Amino acid sequence: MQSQVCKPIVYIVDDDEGVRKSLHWLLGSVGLDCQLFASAMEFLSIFDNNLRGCLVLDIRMPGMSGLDLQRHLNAEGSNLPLIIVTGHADVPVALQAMKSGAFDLIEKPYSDQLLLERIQAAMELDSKQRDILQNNHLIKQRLAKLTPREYEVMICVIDGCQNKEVASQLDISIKTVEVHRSNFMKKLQVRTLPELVRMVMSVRDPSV
Amino acid sequence: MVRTILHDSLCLLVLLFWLASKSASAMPQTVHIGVLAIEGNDIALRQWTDTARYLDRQIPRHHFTIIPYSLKALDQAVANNKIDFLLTNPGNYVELESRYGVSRLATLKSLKRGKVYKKFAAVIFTRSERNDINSLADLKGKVFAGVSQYGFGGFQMAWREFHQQGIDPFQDFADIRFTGLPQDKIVYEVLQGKADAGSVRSEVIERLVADGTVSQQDIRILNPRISADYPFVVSTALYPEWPFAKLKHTTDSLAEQVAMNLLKITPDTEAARAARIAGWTIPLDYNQVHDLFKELGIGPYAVFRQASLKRVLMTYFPHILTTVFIIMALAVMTIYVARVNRKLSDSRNKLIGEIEQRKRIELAHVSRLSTIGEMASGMAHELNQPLTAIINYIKGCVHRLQDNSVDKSTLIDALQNAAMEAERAGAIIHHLRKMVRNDEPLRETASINEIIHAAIRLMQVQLRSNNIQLVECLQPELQYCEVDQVQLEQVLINLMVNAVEAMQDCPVKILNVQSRQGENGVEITIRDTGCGMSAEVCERVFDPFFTTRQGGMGLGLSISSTIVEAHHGNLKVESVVNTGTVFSIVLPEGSDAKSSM
Repeated sequence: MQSQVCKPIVYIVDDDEGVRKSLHWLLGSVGLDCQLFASAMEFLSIFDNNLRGCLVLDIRMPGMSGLDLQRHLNAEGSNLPLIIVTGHADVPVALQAMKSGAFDLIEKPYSDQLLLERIQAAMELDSKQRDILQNNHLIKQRLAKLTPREYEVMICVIDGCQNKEVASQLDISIKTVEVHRSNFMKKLQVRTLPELVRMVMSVRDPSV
Repeated sequence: MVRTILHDSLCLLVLLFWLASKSASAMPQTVHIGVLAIEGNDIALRQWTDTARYLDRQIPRHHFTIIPYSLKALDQAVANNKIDFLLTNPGNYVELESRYGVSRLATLKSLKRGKVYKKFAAVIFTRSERNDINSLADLKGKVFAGVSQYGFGGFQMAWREFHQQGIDPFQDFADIRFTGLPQDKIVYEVLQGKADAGSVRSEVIERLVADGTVSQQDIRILNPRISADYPFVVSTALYPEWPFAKLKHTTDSLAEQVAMNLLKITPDTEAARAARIAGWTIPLDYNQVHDLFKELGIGPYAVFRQASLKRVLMTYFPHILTTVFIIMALAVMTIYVARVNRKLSDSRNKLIGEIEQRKRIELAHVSRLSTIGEMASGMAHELNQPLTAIINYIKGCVHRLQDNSVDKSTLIDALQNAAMEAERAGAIIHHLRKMVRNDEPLRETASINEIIHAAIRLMQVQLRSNNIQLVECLQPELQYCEVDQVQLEQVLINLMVNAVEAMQDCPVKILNVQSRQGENGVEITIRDTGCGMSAEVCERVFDPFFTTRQGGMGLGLSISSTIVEAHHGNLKVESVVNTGTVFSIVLPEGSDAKSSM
């Protein structure tokens, strides 16, 4: 089962038409797709967590400000990287934006190189993040297929127990352990122990 | 030996002192009698020495001396108390009496043809041949001879006579020759033709005729008068004879003795004969002499001289002229100064007016500049937009050209857009310049909503950074108004800045900007939810230099109100403390009542 994959797009939110259109032109010249929104509300109306790419957002906007949008998105658990563009480098505002998890902050007027580079980086980050997310999702799905016994054995193996120890701990025969082991390795689609450990650790909740 | 010499010297000294005191009392007291020597010192001495000797004999232990004087010298002698008694003419006596307080003791008695006379007069005469001179009036324009201006018998008597006949010797005669003593000189002057006429005291001519010096026929007396009190023909009134007087300091006892003895003199004594007098009588009344002096305004009456205007003018002419001249000069100067003053005053008022005017313009300018200063970051931000867009468009073109992935028309579009953005930036700069410029207001028909939008755009930064929520309610179809756009923007920004300031520490921060069409014109309201103002503050809020802001100039609202009023509108305020404030502007419609879109 694969999640719906959207094409990576640069989402641009700016109330100034000239800026929107010129950015569209600029990004088009380097082969990036983008969508334009005149206000934060407009963007929110089409937002969902499947969106891929990054968000370029002017902080100074009438109606809902850039920071408000950021708060909203955080509340919805969005992972879309955020590049904040601001005309005046207001330190408190910038700090808040960064603390709230923005990817970067660029001051207008900006060097186009810088903007494009950061957008690329953001897109890559998003891509990576998505991949990781997807991977984790996959792993979790696989893990969910394990029987309870198989799960217990797996935990012990990850903790570094030999088959013999697992058998004595769980009070089952070594042979049973070997069978379980072979099963979950197949289900999880890993071949070596290190692989297994890495996979599980990547989705493991540290508190467990 | 020494002791005896000393003793002897002492005795000698005492003796000498005793003798001295004795002789002092034995020495007679010298009494000086001053005499006016009208005929000369020698004759005076000859005349009066016998009288002195007589008095010596009559009054023991006194030695009388005669000292002859001229008129002037006599005056000085009396002033300095050099003499004890004096004998002078009646005129001089009257003057000395008034000045030094000399008092008469006796009056002289003259002897003529065996008769005693107590008075005398003056004779005005001319040469008999002068047929052109028959009366005193004929003497006008002629040369006259007299003894002296101060000579009583020799001139002053005649002068009075002239005066009484309306003749002023000093004006009407061609010349007056004062010969001085003795009076004989006058007779000679006339006879020799040096003068046309002259005056002498009575007796002078008689004496000269008696001497044989002068012939009676040669002389004709003018204005002749005959009187019972005088044997000869004279020309003037009669006056009392010479008085014998004492000085103020002379003791009464001595004076009594002298008077008594003078009165005893009889014509046959040496004293009388030598003086050619009959003797002395009790002192006469000298009022007539006073009258003469009064009439002529001389002597003691010089002060009271009847001053005719003509005489005053003549005497003081130079003084009067100078005074008048000075007064005129002062008047001219005063007028000049007054005029200059007025010009200066006018000039000063004009200057003050100009300065005030300029100050007002400066103030409006400064206030506008400070408003602009507050909007600087807003402006900078505004400029960022077009600049960013330009960069994007151009860089986009560059990338596409590098990739060879573009068609001409798209490129052209992008570049046109870039150019448009540049123009947009230019417009913002232009707008900024308009705000800064110190021009006279420029009224143009304009859409109010557009102006409100422009003001709001400039306020964006401030609103953001203060977390103020902006609510716009602009009625779409407002009528156009004749306004100066820059000035109206200034007013709106000023009001919005104040609103932001008012909401500084308030929990609720809402800025409400409204525009609507009212009955009187377009209404713009700016409402805030700030701390509000008390009624007292509301009253003063439009006053210049009134501010509740720390470091504020207090001019913003005053200038805003001036601007609105200049547009024939009005600016009002309502406020509730801790709730909010509303400023409302009403602008009358423009002459073009077109509706905006």
